Amino acid sequence: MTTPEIGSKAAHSKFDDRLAWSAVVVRSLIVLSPLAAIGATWLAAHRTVPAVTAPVLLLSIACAARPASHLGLPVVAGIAIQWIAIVHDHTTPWSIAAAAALAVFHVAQAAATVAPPTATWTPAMRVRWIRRSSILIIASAFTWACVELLNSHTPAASTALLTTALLTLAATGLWASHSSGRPDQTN
Amino acid sequence: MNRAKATGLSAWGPTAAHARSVWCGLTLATVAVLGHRPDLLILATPFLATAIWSTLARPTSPLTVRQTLGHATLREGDATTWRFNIDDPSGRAEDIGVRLRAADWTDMHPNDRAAASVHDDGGERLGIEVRAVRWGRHRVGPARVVVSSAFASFQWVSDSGSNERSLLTLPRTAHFESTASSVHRPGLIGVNRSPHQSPGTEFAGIRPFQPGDRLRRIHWARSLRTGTLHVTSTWADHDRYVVLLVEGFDDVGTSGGIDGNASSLDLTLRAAGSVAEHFLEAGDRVGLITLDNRGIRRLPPASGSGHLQRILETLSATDTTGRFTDTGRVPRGLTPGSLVIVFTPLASPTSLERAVAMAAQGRSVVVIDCLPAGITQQFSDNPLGNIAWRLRILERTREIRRATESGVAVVQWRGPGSLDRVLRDVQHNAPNRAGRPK
Repeated sequence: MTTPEIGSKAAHSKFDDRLAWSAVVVRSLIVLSPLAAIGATWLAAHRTVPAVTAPVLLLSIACAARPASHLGLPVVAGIAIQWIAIVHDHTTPWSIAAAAALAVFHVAQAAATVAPPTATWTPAMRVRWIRRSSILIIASAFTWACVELLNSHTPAASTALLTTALLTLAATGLWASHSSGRPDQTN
Repeated sequence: MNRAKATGLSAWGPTAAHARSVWCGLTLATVAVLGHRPDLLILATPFLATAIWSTLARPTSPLTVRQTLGHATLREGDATTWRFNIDDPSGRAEDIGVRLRAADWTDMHPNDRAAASVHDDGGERLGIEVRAVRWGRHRVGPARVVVSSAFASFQWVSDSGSNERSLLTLPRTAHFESTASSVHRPGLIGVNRSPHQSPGTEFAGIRPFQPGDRLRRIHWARSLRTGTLHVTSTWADHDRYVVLLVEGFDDVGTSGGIDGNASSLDLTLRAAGSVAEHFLEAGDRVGLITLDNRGIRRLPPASGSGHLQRILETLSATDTTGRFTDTGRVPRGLTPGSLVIVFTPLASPTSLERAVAMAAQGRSVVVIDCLPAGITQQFSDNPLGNIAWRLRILERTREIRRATESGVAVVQWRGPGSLDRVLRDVQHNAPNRAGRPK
C-alpha cells in the first residue's frame, strides 16, 4: 500500500497587522481636523461651500490612508480658498480655531510617516509631538493677537511696507528651498 | 554574532510634510500681503513656523545605521535581538521607525515594527526580539529603517535588501538520563561496561586462578580460605558507537512550532537531537546519517559538544522537498556491532524493512516511531485521508509486530525516558559472546 497523502501544514500564525492605538489616533486627527477647520469657517461665516467641503473631506480620508503623499496640499488649499471666499471678518477669533485645525492636520499627517502604522509610539514621542503642536497653536493665537493689535492701528497703505513684506517672504522661500537640499555626503 | 552591517549610503531628504509647510505657509502669507487679508497670516502661521523650525533643525550630516542580529544560531524557542545602532553626528534625528520583515517560523516581540524617540528613548539602540519557533534555516530581514528630523520634514530611509540575515534554528532537545546499560561492543576502551570479562575497573566476581592471570589480581583471603588460588575478575571497559539514522522523507501532521503541535519531522529531529545529546554527554561516539528528499548526508562518528552542534546543524538542514527516492537500502558506513537508532514516522514499510535488514547483519537496531499521536484526528476534515491513515496504521501495527519478532525494537517516542526500556531490551537481546549472565 502506498503512503497516504501527507504533508506538514504550517499552523504558525503571524503577528497581527492591526493598527497601533497611536496610529489610529493620528489618522483620526488627519480626517477630523479638516472637518474642524470647516466647522470654524462655518462659525466665522455662518455658511460653507459644499462644492469645496465634500472634496476636502474625501481628500482628508485619502491623506489618512497615504500620509506621505502630497494630498495634504489640496486639502489645505481647499480650506483656505473657502475661508477667503466666505469669511469677511478679517480679525475673527475663529481664525485661531481654523489655524489650530490646520496645524493639527499638518502635524498629524507628518507624524503618521515617522513610524509604521502597527508600531506603538513611545510616551516620549507622544509628548514631544503634542508639545510642538501646542506651540504651533499658541503661535497662531499670538499672530491673531498681533493682527488684532495692528488692526486697531491700521497703518496707511504703504508701497514700501508691501514691498518689504513681499521681499521678506521671497527671502524666506528661497532660504527654505535652498536649505531643503541634501546635506553634504562627504562629511 | 553576525557581523554588523552599516547602512550609511542613504541620505536625508525633504518630505511631503516639508513641501506642504513651505508651500502652504508662503502662499497663504503672500496672499495675505497682496490681498490685505491679515486673517490668512493666522492660517499661515503653523505652516511658516513648521517650515522655519524644521529648516533650522535640518540634519547636516549623513546618518549611519548598524544592524546586527545577536545570534546566528538558536535552539527552538530561544530568542535573540535584531538591534539597530544609530550614529547621528548632527544629533538632529528625532524619531526612528523600523519594520523588520517577518521570516517563516519566527515570532517578533513586541511586533515586527517598532518606533522610538532617538534621544529620549535611547532609540539609537533600538531592538526587536526575534524568537525562532521551529527548526531550520530562516531568513530574517531585511529591515527598513526610517529616521525623521523635527516635524518629519526630513527623513533618512535605509536601503533595504542588503541587510538580510540567516538564522539557523536547531531542534530543541530534551535532556534525559538513560539508566539502561550498554550494548555489546567489541572494543576494549571507553567508559561503558563491556559484556567481556577482561582487565577493567568494575568488579565482576572471584574465580579460580587460570594461567595468564596477573599475580596482583590474586584474592588472598579466598585463596587462603579455600586452599586454591583465586583471582578477582573485572568487566572490561569499552566505548559505545551509536549511529542515528534519521529519515526525513515525509513530514506528517500539522506543525505549530515549539509552542504548538509537533509534526512527525519535528518529533524526529527533536528526538534525534535528544538522543545524540544524551550519548555524547556520556562520552560515547555518535554518528549521523540523514535520509531525506535531497539525498543522504553522513556525519562521521565523533564525540564532544562540538560534535553535538554539528549533528544538530545537520538535522536542521533536513529538507522534505526534492526528488531523492528511498530505495530501502542499508546505508554504507555502519560498522558491525554498532547501535543503530532509527528515527522514522514509519509512513512507509521501507523503514522497517531496512531496520530488519540491518538487524540481520548483526547490528543492534532500535526504531523510534515518531508518528504524532492522533494522526487520524488531524485528517478529520478529509474523510479519504482519514480512512487511508487508519488503514496505514493497521498495516504499521502488523509490520511493527513482524519487525519485533525479527529482533528490531520499536518504540514510540514519548520524550525523555522513551529510550530506557528499549535500550534494556536491546541489551537483553544483544549477543553475549563472553557468556555473561543476564
